[in-house]
Amino acid sequence: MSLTDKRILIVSHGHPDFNKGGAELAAYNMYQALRRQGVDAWFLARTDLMPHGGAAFSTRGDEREILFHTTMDDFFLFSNINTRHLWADFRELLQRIQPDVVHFHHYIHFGIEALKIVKTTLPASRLVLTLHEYLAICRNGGQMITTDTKPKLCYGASTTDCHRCFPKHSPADFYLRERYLKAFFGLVDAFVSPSQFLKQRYVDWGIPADAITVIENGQPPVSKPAFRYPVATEGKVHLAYFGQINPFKGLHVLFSALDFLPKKLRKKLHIDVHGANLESQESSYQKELMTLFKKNKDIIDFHGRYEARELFDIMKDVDWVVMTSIWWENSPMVIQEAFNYGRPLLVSDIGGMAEKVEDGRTGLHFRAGKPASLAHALEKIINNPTLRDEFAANITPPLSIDDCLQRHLPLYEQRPASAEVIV
Amino acid sequence: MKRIVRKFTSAGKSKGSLRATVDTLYESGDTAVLWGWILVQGSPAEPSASLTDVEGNPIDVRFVWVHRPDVEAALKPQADSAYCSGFIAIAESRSNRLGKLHVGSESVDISQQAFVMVDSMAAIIGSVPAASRARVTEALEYLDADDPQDDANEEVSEVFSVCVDTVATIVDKYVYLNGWIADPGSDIDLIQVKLDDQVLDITNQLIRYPRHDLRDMAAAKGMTHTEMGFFCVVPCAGPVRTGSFSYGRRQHKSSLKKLPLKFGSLPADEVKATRFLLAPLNVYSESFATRAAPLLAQVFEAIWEPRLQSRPTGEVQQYGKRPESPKTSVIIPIYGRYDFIQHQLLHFSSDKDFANTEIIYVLDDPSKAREFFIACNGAFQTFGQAFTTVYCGRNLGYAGANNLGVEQARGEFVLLLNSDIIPREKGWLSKMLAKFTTLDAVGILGGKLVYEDNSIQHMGMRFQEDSFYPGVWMNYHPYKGFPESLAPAFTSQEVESVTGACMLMKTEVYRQVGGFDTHYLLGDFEDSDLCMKVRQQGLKIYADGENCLYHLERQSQNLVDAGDWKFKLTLMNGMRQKKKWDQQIKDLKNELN
Repeated sequence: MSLTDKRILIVSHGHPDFNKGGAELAAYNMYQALRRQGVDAWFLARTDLMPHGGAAFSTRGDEREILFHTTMDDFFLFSNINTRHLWADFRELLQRIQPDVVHFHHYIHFGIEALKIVKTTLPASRLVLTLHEYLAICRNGGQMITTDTKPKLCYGASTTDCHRCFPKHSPADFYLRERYLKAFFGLVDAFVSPSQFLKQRYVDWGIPADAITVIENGQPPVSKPAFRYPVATEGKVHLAYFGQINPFKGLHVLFSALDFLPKKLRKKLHIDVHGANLESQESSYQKELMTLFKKNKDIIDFHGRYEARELFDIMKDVDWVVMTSIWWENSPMVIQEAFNYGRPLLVSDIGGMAEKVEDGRTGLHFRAGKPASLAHALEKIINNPTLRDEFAANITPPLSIDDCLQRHLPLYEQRPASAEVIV
Repeated sequence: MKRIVRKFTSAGKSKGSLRATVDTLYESGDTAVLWGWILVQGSPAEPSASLTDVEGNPIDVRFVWVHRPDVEAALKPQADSAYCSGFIAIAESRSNRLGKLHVGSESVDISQQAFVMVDSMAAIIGSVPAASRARVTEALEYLDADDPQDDANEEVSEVFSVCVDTVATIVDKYVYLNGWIADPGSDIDLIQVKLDDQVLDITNQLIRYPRHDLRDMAAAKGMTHTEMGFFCVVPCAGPVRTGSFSYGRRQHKSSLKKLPLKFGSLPADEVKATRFLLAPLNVYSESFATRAAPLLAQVFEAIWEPRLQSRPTGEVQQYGKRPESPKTSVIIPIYGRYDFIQHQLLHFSSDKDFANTEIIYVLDDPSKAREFFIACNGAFQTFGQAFTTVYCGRNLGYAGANNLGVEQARGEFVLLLNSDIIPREKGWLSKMLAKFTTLDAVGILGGKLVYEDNSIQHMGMRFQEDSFYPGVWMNYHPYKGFPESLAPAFTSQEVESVTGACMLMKTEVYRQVGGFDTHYLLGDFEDSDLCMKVRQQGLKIYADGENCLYHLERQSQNLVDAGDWKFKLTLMNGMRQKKKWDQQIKDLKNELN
């Protein structure tokens, strides 16, 4: 079995040059690793940039990276059938490339029908879909939380419950949506899930367990920086937050936790926020967060967005990484990056976070969305400075990108026994 | 509805208790019809009102008093304790002579009031509450003195109303009418238009369209607005002086309602007139292809004919020495961005193919003339590449500009080239010429074009149906946007058509077929049309798969918005192409596939 005798098309809903989401990076990292290994690979990324004279495609980089200028005409169904983009342009592109494997890392923005176009155009090809979120299950941005002002965690889709979240769509609409999406999922030869948790959600939803293989997103090789601050008696604990800033990422939970921290311990804590996009959040959330920040600005620094290439230098200063999401997550890039650089984490005790960080071994769990619980965890790491090195020593390096590719190889080779989705 | 709002100062308030406002004004000849209201303290049984002109002289006027519930509601509570009434005043005066409105011993200066000028009486009648409309219509009858048939005693139906917003004569060949009909009971079954002495039944000639601005009125009458608007084109023979628009029930022919028509004209500029006429066109209606499009096509023909017929004379300017007997003349129209010439001339000047090639730039954009000629001089001084410019002082469109340029061509071949095309390497022109001579029965050879990211822009075109553009053959570019490496490789290939952005052909053939057809308004389809004309000569169209140039076409989405006037124009042009070539295109498809 080898990758080099195959032509592989990696499909992503965005190009990381424009959209730095975890799924886009995972897809692009795979493509680049394939190219490094000399594989005849192509990368197709959807874009909302303006095309040349109405063209569906344009090229980028070495011209094996193709941008697809399209958009869905129905965001409820993830559907894109009105324009010729899928049934003519994409089909023609497939005919020209003739890939043996088409590996989707998303279908949003393309349109779910792209899966069908692959199967009707190239019936012999292998169709692989990596699930990066719960979009098919949950209309609410695939987050599986309710649409209430104070969102509640959701444990599974049901037509009536989904209708309560989205009164505009009737239960019947949700039924049709599920049937529609499952019909296309039924065409997929192999699913990949980066976490056991996400796999289980899709199994609960109706995909056969043996159709989904759990493969963690591969990480690029990096060198681990030593901790800048020794296990200090006099020093502070440096806690870092990475990623987007929005209500679901729960940075406010961290800031609120500081209220529950005894003054003496609070002085021993420093927080660095490497987060982006606060300015594009609703003003009420900006206000809430800034009010909390102002109360604690002596111990919090905001640094804005970060690039992967800066991580080595940033991580030197970091003792612990914190992840406060109030939704399930899947396999958060922040956790993979922290492990790649050998940093233990404090994480919400739900979903992909609870799965990836082992409580009491590679990090600590706290109750999702509960500042008091997070405060206890903070107390623990401040009072026990040796925990950092102890936990760091327990971290096994995350799956490398090359190993990640290797684990995909069987999926690229053969169809699992049962990929029939129960509709 | 045409609205001219006169300058607004303050509302018409007098020192005393009288308030008076003119809302709307319609002017017909020396008669002004005012629609307004008064509010006066006390309760005069019937107010004695009069008008004076700006110099204080009395004006002959007749008032009809009308109940105005809208004003009463707005002026509560004053209206309850005062006399409030609407009025129609028919005044023998030009509107700009109106001075004061007098009621009893008080007066209000209306000369500075803001009001809406409407260009049809129907617009005023439409504002009158239904209960008073018959009385008002009756009072206004005598304005239509030229109609002896009118019988004021005949009962007039109240249920429908019509307004003609625009009446325009088009080069004395057509009269264009645009307005709306509110006829919830579908009672109107006869509509006539009278142009001087000629009466025409246009009942079935109207093209209906949605009037979104009248949504509220439609809802109030229990009908939808989607069919309320209409336009209509009536042929006429020569200038028309007077006219009227009559409508009603066929069985009560003597009691047809009648609106006098006040003739205006369309914008003088052809493009503006075209936009104006396209605005109400509903391309998704059933009647679009069968009635509306052919009708408007005739009108466009009439509007554009004078401009298309007048043969432009190009002023020729020479930079450097013109080749004695060039093999090829490259024709490059310039519209908008002229800065590309600097890049083109740089590359042409270092390519020895251009030593015996004539370059002809046709400036097609008067707004850029000054900058263009400065840039031409600078480019010539810097690069030393000889070229010619032709300029006729106005915009001709892509087709007309090329035709003008080819008039100057002295080469055996013409290469029609866009200004935003930049060669990829030297020697491309001689290679294209060499290839041309090897091809069987060749009429046109089109270049292979790519975008700056090396994705395909053009390697031949195909006539294709497109559900976004129903009823026309769109010029589809196969493999557009594909990486060059994924597009099929060929040396040259017979194709259905090629883009006008880069076309090589014999000058003689171009002239034989009369060059580009200039009747595709504002440019569309003239390249595929030329290909069809050349094919009609028994010659074939080829795409070059090897000689590649960059086409730096601006970025844009496809036009798919039916509200966009350019989209509508593309459809109109496409229908012209289909009408002209439909059968030949089908035959060609059979032949090539």
